[in-house]
Amino acid sequence: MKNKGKQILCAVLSTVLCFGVSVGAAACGEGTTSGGEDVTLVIWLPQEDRQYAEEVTAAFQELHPEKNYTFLFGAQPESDAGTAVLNDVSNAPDIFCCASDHLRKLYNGGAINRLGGALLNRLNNEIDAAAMEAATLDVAGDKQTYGIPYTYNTYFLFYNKAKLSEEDVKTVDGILAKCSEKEQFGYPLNDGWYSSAFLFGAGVTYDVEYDANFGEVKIDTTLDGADGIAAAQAMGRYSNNAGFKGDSNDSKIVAGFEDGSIIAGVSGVWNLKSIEAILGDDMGIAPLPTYTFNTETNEQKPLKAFAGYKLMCVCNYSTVKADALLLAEYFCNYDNQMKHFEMRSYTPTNKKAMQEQKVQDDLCCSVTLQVMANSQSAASVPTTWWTPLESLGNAMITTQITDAGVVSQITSAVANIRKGV
Amino acid sequence: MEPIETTAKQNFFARLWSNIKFSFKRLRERIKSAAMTVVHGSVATKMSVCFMGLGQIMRKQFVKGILYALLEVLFILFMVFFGGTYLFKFLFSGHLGTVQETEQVWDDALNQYVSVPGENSMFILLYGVVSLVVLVLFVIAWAMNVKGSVNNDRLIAAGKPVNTFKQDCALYINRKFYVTLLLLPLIGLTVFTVMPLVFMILIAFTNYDYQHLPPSKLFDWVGFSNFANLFSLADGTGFAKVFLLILAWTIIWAFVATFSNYFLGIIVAKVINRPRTKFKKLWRTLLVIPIAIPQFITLLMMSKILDGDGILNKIIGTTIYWLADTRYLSLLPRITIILVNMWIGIPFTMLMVTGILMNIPQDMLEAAKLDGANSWQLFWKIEMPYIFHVTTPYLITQFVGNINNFNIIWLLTGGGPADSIHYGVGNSKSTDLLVTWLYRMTTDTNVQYAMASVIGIAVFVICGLVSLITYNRSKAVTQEEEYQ
Repeated sequence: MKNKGKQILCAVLSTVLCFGVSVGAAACGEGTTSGGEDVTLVIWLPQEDRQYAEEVTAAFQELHPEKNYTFLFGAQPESDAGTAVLNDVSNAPDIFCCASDHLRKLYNGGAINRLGGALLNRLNNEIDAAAMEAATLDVAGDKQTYGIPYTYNTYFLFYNKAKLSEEDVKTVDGILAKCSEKEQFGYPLNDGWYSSAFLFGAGVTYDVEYDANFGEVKIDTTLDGADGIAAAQAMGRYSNNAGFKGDSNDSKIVAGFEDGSIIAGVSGVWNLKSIEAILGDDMGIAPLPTYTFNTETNEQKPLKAFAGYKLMCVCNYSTVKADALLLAEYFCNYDNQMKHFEMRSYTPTNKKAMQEQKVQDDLCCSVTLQVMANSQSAASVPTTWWTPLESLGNAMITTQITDAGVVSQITSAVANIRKGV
Repeated sequence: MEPIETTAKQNFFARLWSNIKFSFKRLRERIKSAAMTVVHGSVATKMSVCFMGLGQIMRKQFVKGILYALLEVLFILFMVFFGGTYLFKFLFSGHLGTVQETEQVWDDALNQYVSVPGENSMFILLYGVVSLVVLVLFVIAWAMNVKGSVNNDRLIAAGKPVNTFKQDCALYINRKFYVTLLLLPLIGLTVFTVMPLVFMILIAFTNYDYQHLPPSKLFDWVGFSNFANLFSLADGTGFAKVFLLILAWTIIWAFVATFSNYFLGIIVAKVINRPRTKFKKLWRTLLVIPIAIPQFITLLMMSKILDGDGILNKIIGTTIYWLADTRYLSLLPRITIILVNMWIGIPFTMLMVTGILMNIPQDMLEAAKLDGANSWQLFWKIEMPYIFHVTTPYLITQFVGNINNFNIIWLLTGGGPADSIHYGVGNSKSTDLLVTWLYRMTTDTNVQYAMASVIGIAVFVICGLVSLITYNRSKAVTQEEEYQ
């Protein structure tokens, strides 16, 4: 009998071992189901848009009583959505929000559904032409639209009106004149999305050649030209200034406004509500300032921001594509763009909404449109652009960089950006 | 067959090689003899070869026979309706699918753009591997079925009755109980470890990357070109420079992290163990606290503390970028990481060594003291060899563990900061280990699964070699009997 007991014990132990193995590997994915009246739609959007999305989808359900919709939301910032979708295309959400500079990669990965027919005609009529252009790819001469632009994706200057005047914020030097080690100007210098503004303002360009699938074949840039180096040296000069906080990012800027260590910072509309909550009426918004390009002649150049759009896309592998297209269009219509504007200050792309008096009067919207008017389109930015710029910024932040140091940093950055040249 | 002679002088690889040769030779002989047995065997055995279970049914082992027959039917159904096509494409077509998804075309009825799905290279590879494993399992079952029939022949020739199903079952909870026990873990291991591993390794021989993402694009076999790419210096695509830089840092990191924890842990244990040290339990508890908090949390907390705007800088009034300074090949972040790792790792060594120190035979120490040894000599000549002997396997696992120490790097610096040398192919950064680099390659903007798999294999080879060589040379193995 004793032997039997041992056997049972052994059996139990081996089963436990087995569970250990299988639990580690168990994974489950929730797909979407179609058919009949029940439709489940998976939607990815930023966490801050959750409330807005819930209200919109509830209204959508009321509009379509013939179907029984279930909406599942995933929190995914637009900036990473393209990458996340491509990581598992077949299990991607039905609808997702992404930045327009992901469009080529998403097309390359076959992830997004092309828009057409009456839907496309309606969108072309209702939405700003430049925005629709940003959602459109030129595939061997054929214009193909793959997403619905619902707002602009760029950045501008936030400042504390109690500390800085409207005149101060016209130039970086004007801002820094009022800044000190205790009250700084926050500018994310180690993030290519922001730091490139110095370079584009000086006329730096990049040029990407694509193959038929929008794979990058050849990448070239004028970053190591005289203008590029002078612009980078200006960045270096500013980063050596005690009032300039190059080591900042969205959350550090908000925290800085809160504890008073930052009196001006470059960020986007996504931070507007949190900064407004801190500064209240003292919150100022302005287009990006100009910077001193040449210290001898005091020549000023503008900071030229990266700019794009935020798109709502439908996954090509969605099993409920018809419903997804319907909902995506609904999300981007006049009413809901106005709702988005009211809830999160997002500048609408809908032509009618743009004409609304309260949109016209809104400072954030007008600043956004001013920045857009003189901006660098993020549509075909090379994928090799970001890390070298991050490294350039890191070098400026951690050392008192010299002009010669900037030149050597630019040389290695360009070597890493260029491809097939 | 004579078992092969192994001499102590033969090194490990020579022994491994002769073992492999020997196994193959034995397998060949066994197949040969099995074939001969079947050829000279009974009708029932020959029937079993063609129709599984028929031999058993002819011997009135109905349950067993029907089970075997059912297995064969299931296998055939599986192959006809599912596995066969994948297996064929996987093994014989030379490609992982040839039909690519079409471009999106307008469908008037559906009022949307649709594309006609093509073949999915990933499924072909995945289900190909699965079907192959099923095939191997089936061949094993088939061999068991033939062998069973041959055994029945022998029993009948000896004038004994064949086993009933009940007797067979009884066998598996008595004499062959180990088979029953190991069956479940074995299945678990095959399904959850071996099959994924084979699948992952095979990806290294394809061009699976952001340009060839299924389901919209196909990927295909590319032979060893990814491995060539790993050692290629070609501008813009060659991985050699980045790989060697990261490999060098990985090895330096693993070495320093392992031995700093090890020796400092021993010193701390010694200091606490000194008779003169007061509050021994308090010190031990304090040092062990970092273990009690999940590493995930302590590391994230550390990364905030050591940030440019972190508490540490606020307290000492500096603006040092502990984890982001890119000067001198990012020396400061590297040192900071090693220091944080010590804070987490030393308590483990300390606890273990404390136990070992208490277990050292006191007579050895007393004898040495009588001979006039001072405390340094006691430590260096008696305690240290003893500790080292006991902890060599621990050191090896620590070293290999540190080569793959994803957590500490990813949570402290995320592989960063980006400096002007490391990035480029695979988007690596300055404190990246091979594993974090691999991870970034599979999640970053331009995913490169195939190259990531190649690097995974490289890590496996490095870890395997380090473990095998050091472990086999360690005193714990070569002089195992000395301390017994």
